[in-house]
Parts: sequence; structure tokens; C-alpha cells
Amino acid sequence: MDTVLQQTLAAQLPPPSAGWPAWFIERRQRALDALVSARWPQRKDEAWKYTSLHELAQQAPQVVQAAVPAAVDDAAMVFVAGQGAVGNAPPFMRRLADALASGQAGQALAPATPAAEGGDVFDHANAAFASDGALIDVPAGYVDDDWFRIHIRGAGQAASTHWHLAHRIQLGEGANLRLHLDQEALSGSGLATIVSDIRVARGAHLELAWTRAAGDMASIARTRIELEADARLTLHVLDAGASPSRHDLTVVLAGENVQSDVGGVFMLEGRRVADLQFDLRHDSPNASSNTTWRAIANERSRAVFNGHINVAKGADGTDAQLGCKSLLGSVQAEVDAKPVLEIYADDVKCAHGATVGQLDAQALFYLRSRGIGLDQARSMLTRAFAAEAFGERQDSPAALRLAQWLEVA
Amino acid sequence: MLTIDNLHARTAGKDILKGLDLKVGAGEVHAIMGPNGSGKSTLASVLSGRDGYEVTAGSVRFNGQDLLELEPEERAAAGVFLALQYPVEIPGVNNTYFLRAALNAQRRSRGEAEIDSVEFLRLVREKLKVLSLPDDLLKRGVNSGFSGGEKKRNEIFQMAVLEPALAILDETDSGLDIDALRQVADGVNALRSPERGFIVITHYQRLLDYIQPDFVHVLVDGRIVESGDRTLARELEAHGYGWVAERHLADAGA
Repeated sequence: MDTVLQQTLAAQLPPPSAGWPAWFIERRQRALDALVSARWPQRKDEAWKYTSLHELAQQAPQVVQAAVPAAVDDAAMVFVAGQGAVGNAPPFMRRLADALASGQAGQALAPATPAAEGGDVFDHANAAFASDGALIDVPAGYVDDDWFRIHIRGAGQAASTHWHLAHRIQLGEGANLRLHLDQEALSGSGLATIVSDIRVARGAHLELAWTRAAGDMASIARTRIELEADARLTLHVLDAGASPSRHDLTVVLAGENVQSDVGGVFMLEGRRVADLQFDLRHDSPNASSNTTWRAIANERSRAVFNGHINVAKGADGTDAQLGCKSLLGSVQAEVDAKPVLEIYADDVKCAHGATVGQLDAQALFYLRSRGIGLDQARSMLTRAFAAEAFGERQDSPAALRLAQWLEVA
Repeated sequence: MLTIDNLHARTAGKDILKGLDLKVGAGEVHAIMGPNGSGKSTLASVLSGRDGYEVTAGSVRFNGQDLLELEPEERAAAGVFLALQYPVEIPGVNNTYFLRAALNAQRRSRGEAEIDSVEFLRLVREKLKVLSLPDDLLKRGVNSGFSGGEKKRNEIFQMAVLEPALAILDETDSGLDIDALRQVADGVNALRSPERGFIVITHYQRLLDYIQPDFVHVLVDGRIVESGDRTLARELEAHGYGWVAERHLADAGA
């Protein structure tokens, strides 16, 4: 227990709620023990090389005693500081808290327990404290063109708080789901963790958009997505950074003929940090993946893109593309991009690359020579640059949100 | 409308314009011809406010304003338009959106009301027809994947929509086949009016068969060394630039 944060959290575990199964109560106690003894991540650790947790370590955030949100607006679910409410949602979308209280949450429905796999302090914090989240189990063959929105908010106060969510999302065979995780600005200081365990069965298609507005808390996300044969993933991420915003994203292409399209944009101002640790595993033959990331770092912000693709032995016919382009808007901004390919199969097509640059001076002049002011010209070019991450899908919630953020007169 | 007086300019540490004088009145078409490296494109860049060009002496006045004091977008709003020699490709910025943003930015800065999308589309369709440009050009990214001819015609199309007071065409004929050249010239001729001035920069006389200038100027080594009517262009075509340069040197020596 070497930080103020760990000591503070250790003393705060709320008592179990009525109806919780014994395995869950034991699990959170084990996680709390692990949290207390876990080593605090350091800059000298490869995974934290570019993102400092020094300020967070000194904080003493408090558990939020917020009431369960009453108003759910048009969203399928709303979570406020770790506690949710169900809105206009189909029966297969439930809250983890409800499942736990009803005694229906078997261990199989529990969020992944990275604690057992040697997780770090944030995995343990989530496993100990998270008692709510989205529990989505889409039946086989389900098809719906509408986007379901899950609205995620903080406590909305200046104080230092901590809260945690655990999502468990499964798509049955041949199912289609469009899901928008809409994370609002997390004000105040402290820690928010969101652990998501996502499984996409054979032939199913998950379209997931995750928008994360600029925040001041430490916002730590851990996402694992596993795809069975013939499944498809379209993942769009838009992140305005936090202090820091960190996302450890693992995509496992477990079955054959899987298609994964991942597009992401970091749009950073001030001193915010967005840090993506992306791990893509081609475990089976004939899968294709396309990962396109765009980072825009202005003022004193910092973007970290650590993109790792592993093509396992036997995963022949793999087609993997990974690219990260960055725009530096100021001399004090920083981008650290590292794409890595690790290939153990013979017959593969892989490409990766990273570039860092500035807005094209010729294009800026061209727009200005037509009467468009400098700010608007910058904004138009920035938007065009970022929108590349979403390719043809300019109608996705992430692309639309990006357009809103960069709204030009 | 435009008065250039003793203009000196340098780029990349090299003096290019060395005392250029030129007056363009409303309704006039001036052709500027000259050999490679004589300063034709530098003149266009200086007039439009491109970065990287330093004016070391002289002045440029446009409708009573000091043009050199204005930002590129302010020059555009004041009515100066440059058709670029190499139009820039901007994938991801929709052509229609770009043009409407440009028109409205200019209108705002002149204190005029913005144009709504219905009215704008009507205007744009009408101008497209004049230039025989396909409708789908509007949906594409700015110059993105355009052929050389399409890019040049897109420049003239933008000019037609923005209706500048002074249009500068920087080697708009370069890289065009004879059909595209004719379309570009038709587009320019359709815009000729008593209120609008043109500076047509070209290397070859050919364009001037289609856009007939009122005045022809020969630019050699950063200065206009000879001016005349459109017959001068034909003499140049017959004798080459060496002929002017020699005469100029002989004059200077005399």
C-alpha cells in the first residue's frame, strides 16, 4: 500500500447489498486485498512510460453517495457516478446491480476478473468497487438498425470522487447491435474505471461507438472484445482526454473470417492526456483488421498510441492494417505513437505506420485565399483529417459528435 | 482598381521582383507573359498573400486599400481572387461545403447577409452549367482525385461563384488539352464585365487566342520590360522571349 489513493480506497468498501451472491462478495473482498498490496504503476513501466499517475497517487477521492438517476432522457441506460437506471431499453439490456440483487447473476455473468490474471491496481479497484454496469445479452438473430445509447456521467461536482462500472456485453449468433457509450465530461478530480467484457458470437456484428468528452478525472477504461468466426466489429472511439484518459483495448479475433474495423480520434486541448494501449490478436486464419487512428494534440496536451498486432502461428490469410497519424497543434504538445507488428504465421499481409505532422500550409492558404478565416480554415482541415478515422461511416455517433465538437460557422 | 508601384519581392533568399509597375482598371484584361523564372508566379503569390514571399520595396493599392497589409482572407473579401497554377487537393472537405463557407465568410466580412442553402444550390447549378462541369463534382472532396483539367475548371467555377472584382489567373492554361482550354476560356469570357479586372498570367500565346486581352505585358527578370496590345503576344510567339530581352538590353545600353 504505497499511495494515498490506495490507502483511501482500502478504507471505503461499502457493505454488501441485500441479495448479493456469496461468490460476488468474496470476489470483491479478494480484489480489495489485491488493491491494497498492488504495486503503483511507475513511468519506468513500459505500459506507463508516457503517462504519469503521480498526481492521482496523492489523491484521496471519496465514494459517491449519489441517488440512482431519475431522469433517463432518451437513453437506453444511464449511469451516474457508477450507479445506473434503465430507460427505454429492450429486455435484454439490464443492470448488473439488478441482476446481483435478484440473485440471478451466476458467476458466468460476472464481469471478467482480471484480478485473477495478475491485473493492476485499476483492475482490482474496479473488481472491488464496481457493482453496476450494463448487462447486455443480445439474442441470436436479433437485428435492429437503431443505435442504443448508454449515457455515462460523473457525480458532477468539483470534489474528488471515485466510481466504477463493469459492463458485460454478449451478442448471440448472427445478432446485430449498435451501441453508443456516451461518456460526458468527468469534472472534479479522482478516479473513474470502466471495465468492459464483450463477446461477439459467430456471424454477429457489433457496432460500438464510444465518445468520451474532455474530463479532469483519471478515466481508466479496460475493454476486451472477443470475436468468434464470421463475426464483425466496427468500433469507433472519440476521446477528448482526461487527467489522464487511459484505454487498454484488447481485440481478439478468435475465429476464422472475422472482420475488425477500428477507428479512433484523440482530440486534445489544455494539459489533457489520452493514452491508448491497443492489443489486436489475430488468432485464426483469414481474418482482416483495419485500425485507423488520428490524434490531434493542441496546447500542452499529450497523445499516446501504442498499437500492437499479434498474428498467431497458423493464422494464415491474415490481412492487418494499422495506422496512426497525428497533428501537432503547438510546440508544447506531444504525441508518442508506436505501432508494432508481431507475426508468427507465414501467409499474411500486414502494414503499419505512424506519422506526425502539422496542418498542410498549402491547403490552409488555399482555403484562406477563398475568403475563409484562419480559425475556420484550421477547423475544416482538422475535421477532414480526423474524419478519416471513421472512413465511410460518417453517420456513426462518434463521427457526428466529432462534427459537433469541430462545428464551424 | 489595382496599382502596383515599384514592387520588389524576394522568396527563399532570392530577389525575384525588381521594380514591377502595373495598373489594372475595371473592365480590363491584362496578360502577363514571360519566360520561366521571370517572376510571373511570384507576382500572383505576392498579390494573394501567400506565406514565404517578402516585399522589400514598393506598394500595391487595390480600390484605395493597401493590399499588402491584408491577410489572404481579407484580400478575398475585398474582391481579389487567385486561380492557382497548382490547385490543392483537400480530401475530406466537401466541395459544396467549402464553397459555401467561402462565399458566406466573404459576405459576412462585407457586412452582407449569408446565403441560404437553397439559394446557394441554385447559384452553383447555374454556374456549373456554364463550365460544363458535372453535378457530382459538388459532392466530392475539394479537387480530390480530380484530373488536371477538372482542377483548373474548378478554379474558374469557384471564381464564377465568388464573383471577384479582380481575378488573377496563374498559368491556368498549363497542362490543359485544347478542349479543356476552350472550356476554361469560355468560363472566363462569360465573367468579363465592365466592373471586373483580370490579370492573365501565361507562358504561351495560345490562351490569348481565346481570352483576348486588352493589354499584354512582358515580364523579364522581375520587371515589365514591354507593354502593348494583343498584337505583342503574336510577335512574342513569332520571335521568342529572347527577342524582347535583347531589345530591352539594347535600350538599357543606349
